Amino acid sequence: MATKNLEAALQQYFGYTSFRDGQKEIIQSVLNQKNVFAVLPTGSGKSICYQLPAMIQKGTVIVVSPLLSLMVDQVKKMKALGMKNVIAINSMLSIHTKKTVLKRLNSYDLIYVSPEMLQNQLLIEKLSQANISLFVVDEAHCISQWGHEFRPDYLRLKEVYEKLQQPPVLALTATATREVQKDIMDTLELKEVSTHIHAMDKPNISFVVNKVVHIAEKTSGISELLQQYPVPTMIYFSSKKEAESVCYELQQKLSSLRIAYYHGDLDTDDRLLIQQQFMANQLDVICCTSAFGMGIDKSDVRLVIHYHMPTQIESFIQEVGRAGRDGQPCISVLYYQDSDIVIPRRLIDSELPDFSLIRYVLNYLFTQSIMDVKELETFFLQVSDNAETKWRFLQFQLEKIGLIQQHICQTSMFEQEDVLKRLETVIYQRTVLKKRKIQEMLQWVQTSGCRRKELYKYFQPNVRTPIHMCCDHCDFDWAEVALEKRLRKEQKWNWKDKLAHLLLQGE
Amino acid sequence: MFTFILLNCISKLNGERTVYNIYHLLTGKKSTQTIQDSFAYQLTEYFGIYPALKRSDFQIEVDKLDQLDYIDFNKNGYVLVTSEGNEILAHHQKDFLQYHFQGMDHSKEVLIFANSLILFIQTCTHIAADQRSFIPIIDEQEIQKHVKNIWRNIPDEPATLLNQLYKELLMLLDNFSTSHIHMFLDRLTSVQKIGSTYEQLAQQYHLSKHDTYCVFMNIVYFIYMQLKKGANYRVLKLLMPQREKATRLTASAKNTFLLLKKGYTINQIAVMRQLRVNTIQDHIVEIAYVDREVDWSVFVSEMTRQSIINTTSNLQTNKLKEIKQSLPEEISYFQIKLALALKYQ
Ligand SMILES: Nc1ncnc2c1ncn2[C@@H]1O[C@H](COP(=O)(O)OP(=O)(O)O)[C@@H](O)[C@H]1O
Ligand SMILES: [Zn+2]
Repeated sequence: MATKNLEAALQQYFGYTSFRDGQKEIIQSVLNQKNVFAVLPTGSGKSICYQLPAMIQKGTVIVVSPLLSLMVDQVKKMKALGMKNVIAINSMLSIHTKKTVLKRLNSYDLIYVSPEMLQNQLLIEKLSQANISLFVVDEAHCISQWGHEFRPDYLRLKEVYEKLQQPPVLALTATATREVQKDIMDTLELKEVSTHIHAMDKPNISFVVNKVVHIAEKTSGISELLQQYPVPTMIYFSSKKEAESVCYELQQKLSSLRIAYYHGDLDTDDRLLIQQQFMANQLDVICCTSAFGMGIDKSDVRLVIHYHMPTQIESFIQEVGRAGRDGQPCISVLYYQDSDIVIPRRLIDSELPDFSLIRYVLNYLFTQSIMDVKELETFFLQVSDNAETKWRFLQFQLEKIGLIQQHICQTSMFEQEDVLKRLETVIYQRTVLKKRKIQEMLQWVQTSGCRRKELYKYFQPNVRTPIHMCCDHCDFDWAEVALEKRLRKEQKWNWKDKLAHLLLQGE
Repeated sequence: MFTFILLNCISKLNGERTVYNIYHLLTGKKSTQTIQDSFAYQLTEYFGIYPALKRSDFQIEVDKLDQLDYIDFNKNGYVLVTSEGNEILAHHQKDFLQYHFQGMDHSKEVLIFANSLILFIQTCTHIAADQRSFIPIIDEQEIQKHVKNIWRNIPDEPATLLNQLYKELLMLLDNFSTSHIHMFLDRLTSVQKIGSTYEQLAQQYHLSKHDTYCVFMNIVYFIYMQLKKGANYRVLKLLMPQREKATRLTASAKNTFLLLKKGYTINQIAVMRQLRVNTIQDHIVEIAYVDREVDWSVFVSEMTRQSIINTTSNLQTNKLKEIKQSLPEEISYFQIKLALALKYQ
């Protein structure tokens, strides 16, 4: 398709007048039936790279995406723009809907599937009969064992990809170290790949690390900061509880700011309300866990604060990436207190089962020669206090060695001791890897060098010159900070006026 | 408001039930026992008004009442209102006149109605302001479909609809206290502003999030009941769900009902459905609350039924065990439950 036409199509379907950096080259490669591997920073508009081809090409585009909320949001957005033949297939769909969807797969331009759905044989079979024009792997870094968000489900991608007779692939990610990039291409065995790797660094952000002696100084520091700079702010926490409690504390201290918390335990109604309040500037500050931000594209976030250090550089980059999407200056402030190092370690422990749990569960499993997976799952969740992440890990490992096949555990072919050894080795390796990741993050916090260079060195050899100040080790000075303050206007209505305003009466 | 509802429930349960019966009642658990209790203790209005209530949150509220010494537990673990609690209840007696809940008959429809109202206002104001692209604040497919359908079939301009809706709400809301109206309006989302969560409302109005939920739903129940009574509010009426009187039967009881109508006996049904006889009997009790057509004398003769009813009113209790002990041996629990159910037809 000629260049002009591409722009016209972009305008027609999405209403944007021009492409952003990188989008057009990627779309052209995709339309030329090439395998494409692209690293684009968060917020740069990765989704257009497959959504536009889905609209202008024949056939169906399949997108594998690990984030349920993200795909649901994307589908909603596209529908709102008038693109109706899109759907997200995930475990949340009712059986009835799934059935009707499966019957008319070919009528969709774009289908999002969650990785766990790739286990569904019926779906795979139907997909292999459909006319698939492009196979998109979103958040492709999840394939890599070395990636920070490795997902066992993603290893099935290769198998599925082969069953679909290897249509052109588009692998997308925002964060991939060079190590991970290679791993992704090796896993999918992609040949003749056209790669588009865009600079990860963000010239409009400045980096600051605040070391504190006492934990309490974090909240007081944040509170002073926000008093001075009442700008759209996200504060990241690694625990839901603390996101809530610090939120309450800040509400007390900063009565002129509107502050809310957001984490995975909120119900859907509240999530939608809080997200949209933040987007609509009805909230100034959001205290959140990493659950927030996926699919949020507020362009004028000026301050991203980390109350806790993330467990790896990649997460950190992703989270600070939500600041200043409009290109205006913004600041990242990370708070660190010496005992913080135990938190990420604890998080690791909550993700991987410990040896004694594994031993206990295997003892149970090996009392029988055949067991339904559901039974094992129930048992596991019972004895592990509902540790679902740990269960998924175990299930995948048992499938990998063939002990679980077609939802049945069959122990007769295995020695309990061997299985145990194997699992222990994997857990050990993963723990070592995760610890290494934490170490990298910690090194960045402790570094005396330029934070910008240190942060991006895993991804690219050079960084661009920052448009404002660089970091607290180069030139950062709060006195020089000029963030535009936002004043809130609030009116006191009587109820009749409030109702009239709400329903657009008499204005 | 939530506290009074809790106290009211506890008071009516007369020290014969645990707090979990109240939890099941408020969340509208479809079980024979819950349905039966809500009739027996005259709590049908609260049945299913708060399906989203989390058990842990409920427990916190109960603990609060306990700490305030408004409630107490007897040796069976059943819950009672203390004299302090009763004072509070008496003091707020006239508040209950302002409660419009009708859960047993309408909880499903009112929830749909509430969410449809929210989504409709969001949709209508956005379109009137010519902003066609927005993220629906109500995520449920069923509601989105419902509102879309309504939208498709209205000939009026959005501006006309909004003006009409404005007039309707102006009239209906006037029945409530100013603070309640403010909470109701703050919860709504329009193109002008995104609504507040119940927790945010709670902070703003110094209540609990359960209170603000109940305040909002109370107004919705009122509006809905006015419409049911035939009040002619043209726009609001459009939002009423079509699916009237969804039966209260559990799916399994429905299947039993089908077989029952074909003339099968309890034992036959149990064999056919591979369920226990007890389970089928529970289904039949459930059915007895909603159906008049069945010839119930097959299960409990008119005379037996009468003596069960008499015993119950003499004993002034709804405790099955006590009733059973005061009746002749051959009258079964099943017959007692059935007789109690038939009382409310
Ligand atoms: N060419 C473009 N012009 C203007 N806005 C765009 C363009 N491409 C994408 N966007 C917008 O940028 C935001 C981020 O896009 P998204 O695909 O969600 O980013 P990513 O997945 O890379 O984080 C979205 O609001 C999207 O609509
Ligand atoms: Zn620097």
